[in-house]
Amino acid sequence: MDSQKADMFLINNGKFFPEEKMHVVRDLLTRTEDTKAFAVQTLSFQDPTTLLIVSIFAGSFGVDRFMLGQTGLGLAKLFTCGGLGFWTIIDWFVIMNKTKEVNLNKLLTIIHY
Amino acid sequence: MRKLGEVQRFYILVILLPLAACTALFLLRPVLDKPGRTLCIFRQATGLPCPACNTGHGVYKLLEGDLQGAVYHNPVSIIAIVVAFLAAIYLIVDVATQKPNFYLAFKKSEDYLHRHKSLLLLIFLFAAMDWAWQLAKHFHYI
Repeated sequence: MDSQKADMFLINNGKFFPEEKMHVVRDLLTRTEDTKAFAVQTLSFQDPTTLLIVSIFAGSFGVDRFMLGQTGLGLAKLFTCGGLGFWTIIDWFVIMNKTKEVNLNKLLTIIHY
Repeated sequence: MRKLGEVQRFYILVILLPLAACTALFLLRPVLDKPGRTLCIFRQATGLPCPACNTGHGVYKLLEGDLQGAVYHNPVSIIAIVVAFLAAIYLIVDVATQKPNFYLAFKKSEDYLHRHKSLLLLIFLFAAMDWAWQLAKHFHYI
C-alpha cells in the first residue's frame, strides 16, 4: 500500500487505534502488499465511543465485553452484577483503550494472515 | 509506566473478584444486608434487579446447607460457589507449578464457546430465565 493510501486510511480510521501506536500502524500499512490492501480498507472496527456508551448503560450485563469478543469476561461480568459494581465502574475508564487495542489486533491479524 | 499483559490482568481479576466478593459477603454483611442497600449499579440506577442480584443471599443459604433456599434466592449462587472452588484450586496449582494453567483453560473454554454458539445461546437463555425469576420475585408475582 503506498503512503498516500496509508495516510488516507489513518485519516478515516485513526480514532479506532491507540494514539501511541499510530506510527506502527502507518509503518505496517505502507509495508502491506497490495493484495491485502483491499481487505484492510474494507475492515470494520468497533467505535470506542459507542463502546463507552454501551459500557455506561449496559456495562452491568457485560454487553461491552461481549461486543469486544471477550465472551468469558462478559459472562463473568454478567453473573457477578458487573463484578459487584466495581468492574463496571473501572470499565467506564478503560473500555475505550481496550476497544482500540482490540481494533489494532484485528488489523494486525488481517495484515499478518 | 509498563503496561500489564493480558495474563497478568487476568490473574489480578481472578484474585481481586473473589476477594471483593468475600469482603462484601462476610465483612460488609451488617452494612449491606438491609433493604435498599446493594452493590449492583443496575439496581441502584433502575430499582430493578439484574440477573445476578440476590446471589449473596443464595450463598448464605448454601453455606447453611439450604439448597432450596439458595435456588429460590438465585440459582447462580450454586454456580458461583462451584466456580470459586475451581478457581481456588487452579490458582493453588498455578502458584505451585508457576504455569498459567487457569488462563489457558479460560481461553480454551472461551474458544469452545465461540465455536459452539448453541451452548452460548443456552447460557443466555439461562440468564434470561434467571432474570425473569428475579423480576417475578421483585414484583411479587411469586
